[in-house]
Amino acid sequence: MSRRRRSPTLQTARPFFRAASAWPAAAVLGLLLCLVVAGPELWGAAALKTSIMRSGEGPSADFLLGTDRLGRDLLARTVTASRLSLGLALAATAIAGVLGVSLGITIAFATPRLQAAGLRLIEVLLGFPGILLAIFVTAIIGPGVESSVLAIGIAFSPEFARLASTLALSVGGRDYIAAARVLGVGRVRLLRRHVLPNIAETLTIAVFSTTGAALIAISSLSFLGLGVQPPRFDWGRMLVEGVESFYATPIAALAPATMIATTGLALGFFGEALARAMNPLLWSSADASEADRESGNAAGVTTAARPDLTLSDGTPPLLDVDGLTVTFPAPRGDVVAVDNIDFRLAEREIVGIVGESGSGKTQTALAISRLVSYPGRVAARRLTLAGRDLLAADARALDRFLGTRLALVFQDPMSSLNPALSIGTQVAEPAVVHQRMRRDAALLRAGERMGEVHIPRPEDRLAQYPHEFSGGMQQRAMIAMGLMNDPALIVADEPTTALDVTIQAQVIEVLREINRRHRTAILLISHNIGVIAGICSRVLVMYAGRIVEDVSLATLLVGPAHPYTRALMASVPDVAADREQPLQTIAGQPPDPGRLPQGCVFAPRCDLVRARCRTDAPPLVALAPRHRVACWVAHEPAP
Amino acid sequence: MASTRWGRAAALALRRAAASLASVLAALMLACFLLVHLVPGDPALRVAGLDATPEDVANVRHTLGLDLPLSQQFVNYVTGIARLDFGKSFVTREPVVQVIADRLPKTLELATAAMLLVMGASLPLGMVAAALTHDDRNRFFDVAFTAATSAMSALPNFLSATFLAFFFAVWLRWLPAAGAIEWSSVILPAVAVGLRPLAELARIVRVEMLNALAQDYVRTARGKRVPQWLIYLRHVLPNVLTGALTIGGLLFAGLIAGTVVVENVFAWPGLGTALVQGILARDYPVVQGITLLLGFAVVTVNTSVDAALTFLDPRAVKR
Repeated sequence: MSRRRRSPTLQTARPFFRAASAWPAAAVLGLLLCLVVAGPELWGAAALKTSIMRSGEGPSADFLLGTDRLGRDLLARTVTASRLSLGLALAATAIAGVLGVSLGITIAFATPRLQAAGLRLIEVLLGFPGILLAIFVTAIIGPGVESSVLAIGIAFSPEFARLASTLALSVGGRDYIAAARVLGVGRVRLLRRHVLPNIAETLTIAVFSTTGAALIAISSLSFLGLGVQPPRFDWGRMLVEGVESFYATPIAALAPATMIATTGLALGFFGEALARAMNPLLWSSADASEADRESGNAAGVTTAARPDLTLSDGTPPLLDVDGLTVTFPAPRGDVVAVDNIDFRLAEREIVGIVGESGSGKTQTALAISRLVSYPGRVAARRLTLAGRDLLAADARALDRFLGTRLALVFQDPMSSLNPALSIGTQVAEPAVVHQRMRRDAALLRAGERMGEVHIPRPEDRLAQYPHEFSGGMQQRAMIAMGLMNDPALIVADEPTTALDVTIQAQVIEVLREINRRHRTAILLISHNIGVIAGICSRVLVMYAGRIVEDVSLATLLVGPAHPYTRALMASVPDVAADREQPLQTIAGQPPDPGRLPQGCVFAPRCDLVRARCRTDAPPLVALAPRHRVACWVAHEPAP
Repeated sequence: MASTRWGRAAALALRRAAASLASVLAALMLACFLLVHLVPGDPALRVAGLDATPEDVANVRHTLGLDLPLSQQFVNYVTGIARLDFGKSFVTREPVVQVIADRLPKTLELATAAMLLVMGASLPLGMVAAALTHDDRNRFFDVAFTAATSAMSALPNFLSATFLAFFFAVWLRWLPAAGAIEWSSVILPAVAVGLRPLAELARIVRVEMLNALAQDYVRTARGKRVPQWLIYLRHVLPNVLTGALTIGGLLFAGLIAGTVVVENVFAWPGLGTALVQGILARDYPVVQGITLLLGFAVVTVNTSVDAALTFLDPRAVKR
């Protein structure tokens, strides 16, 4: 047991001292410890020596902090009082810990009915502020040092009781405790060997924060005259005496006040740093912040001009993406999520983007909708929707344009809808915001749009909240929301992934209907070839941030050219597949977006790799009309 | 249709809250009743005085009803409370209900001023801090905000009260240091009581808001190109408010405790000063009465917060 417990302690030491507050807190506590140990021996006599001749003096060479009303050295008194102040706080914490942990563990091991009553009791007591409970207890046992320590011990015990019962209950539910019980291990032994060691770390953290709180509580009681009584003195008692001569010598009050505040803060910060060190999860965001961050606008954009291009049939493209790159700054060089991709979308076209997770599909969608979050950066030679430059600087005009011409559907409809707002409010909002439509008119239209996506009795459901909708209905509501302003393009990022298979088909059918009725183009992003094949006429295959193949659905199904696309298609089970043969998988892992290989990104996993693939990245060029491939091998003349 | 389901669930939550409130209040009354009996020494002796004869003490014991069986005394105590009879002060012989009636308005004045300060300042503070620092922007402001609020929330009431009195009353002489004579007297005590909950709530509002800003539904709102201020007020605030009000309500209990301490620093003539004087003078009926009242306030506030949550969070109804 002891050997196993050492390693987490070592692991926690490093993160602990990485907390900005840990070092000063540890230093202050170390210094205090010295004062507690040596203070009364060195300064105890000076602290009690009165000299009426020199009462109420300010700071001087003789008395660094001056003297109090009886001419006693304030510095000596402040230092000497540290032992009593901290001692009382520790004593109160010990009482609170012993009382609370016993109570908590008793509750954890009690019968269910007693357990419920006990937990409720703790909850009610926790609702009472500690200092108020302590005042009540001193009311019963009378003012004084011992009673105030006991009072605070009792008042702070519910905190420990809750902690201990929660922890013991969670530990008690684990398999090894159940196993120990089955083996007939007795309760006391179970407690000592299995439960206490597992909750010790958390209780240690609680001890630090509680000692800080107890110090302040005892000082408060002393300050109210209910705690330490003269001639004994702690910081709280000194503060009372100091406040009496506040006008003449404010330092007499400020010195103990500062000590209480500093010690309380140090104990609190120390406990907090300890807690952070023990829970590595709390560190992830702070770690990221250590990285040097490039300054600049959120998702800053750079553009370069390029002559206008039209589609092969002479019409201008609805969506024109050229040289789109999305990068995220990281400590070891930028992470390139989307790497210089280009593609175009005609009006009414339904195009799919397919690829593994991490291939840059979602960042492509977010970049097109100008939603890449800080500190990501979007750059492109050209990014236009319906002829309008999406990289333009005029944010307000762009917002209105995108708010009316572009609709978004996200993966998880439950979390994409606001739980605190009614469905009607959310669906109607685009019309209210961008068309200045009155709320009742917008709600009327919201009802119509919801009917259009086959939400039954839409007018009844406007007032409902997202949690009252099923997943499929939520996604329909999201689509209805996108239809409020007659968009030219719907970008749907994994719209069916979170849904049941039968619901998936229905949602895809809704999208297809919209495409027919409103002539809305759709960019559908999915890792699921089956979903893509059900609706798209053309497919972009992405791998490691690049488009490796741009292919019509028909060609994709019969003869894709890129080795990655082929492998992807071979890994899709279909009815015709020979069930005796195992499903194919692609050997190896997708590359780390922070360390892309030189040359073709797929080369490390490719069966057909050539020497050239490892040095030069293949461009995405036409293999046939309406078929582009980024692969040296595919463009080789057939043997 | 939806509203009746909602109404039924709300009624159920209210009934549950009322039942729990009743049981806690019963326990509170028992504790306050026992207060006098747990105290070492004979209360009758205390009332009669040190030079009283045994007959005098027996007389006092009889008039106070202390010679009755304990259960009978408890019944008398509870029926007394129902008639707003909390007994008489041992020291001044004044009815305790009169003491409370004199002091309660001042404490309410202080608590209300402090609560207004806390709610009025912490919501905007926390929201602005979150708006400025989300996605790890403005690291410096982030650190400064966290340091300032943790220092403020670690500072105990009586210390901030002392510092405030020193700075604004003694040094700058802007505000009165003690008593409740002018309208401006309430400012320093209210700040002293409110500072700590204010800092805590501002921190919580910021964290809740940062959480909300990272949610998918905010991305949906940004996708709809809803103006930034509307994202904060319509899409984020309702989701932050539930958590903020819960904590705010729980902080209110701490605020009641804060008034007890701070009143004594500023010689504010409220319940807190009366309570501490009562304890020091061993004036048990006064202590008992005020304890019951403060406990009642804490329990009621905590239960109302639980109940209020049901109305604020549409998801809570489902459970």
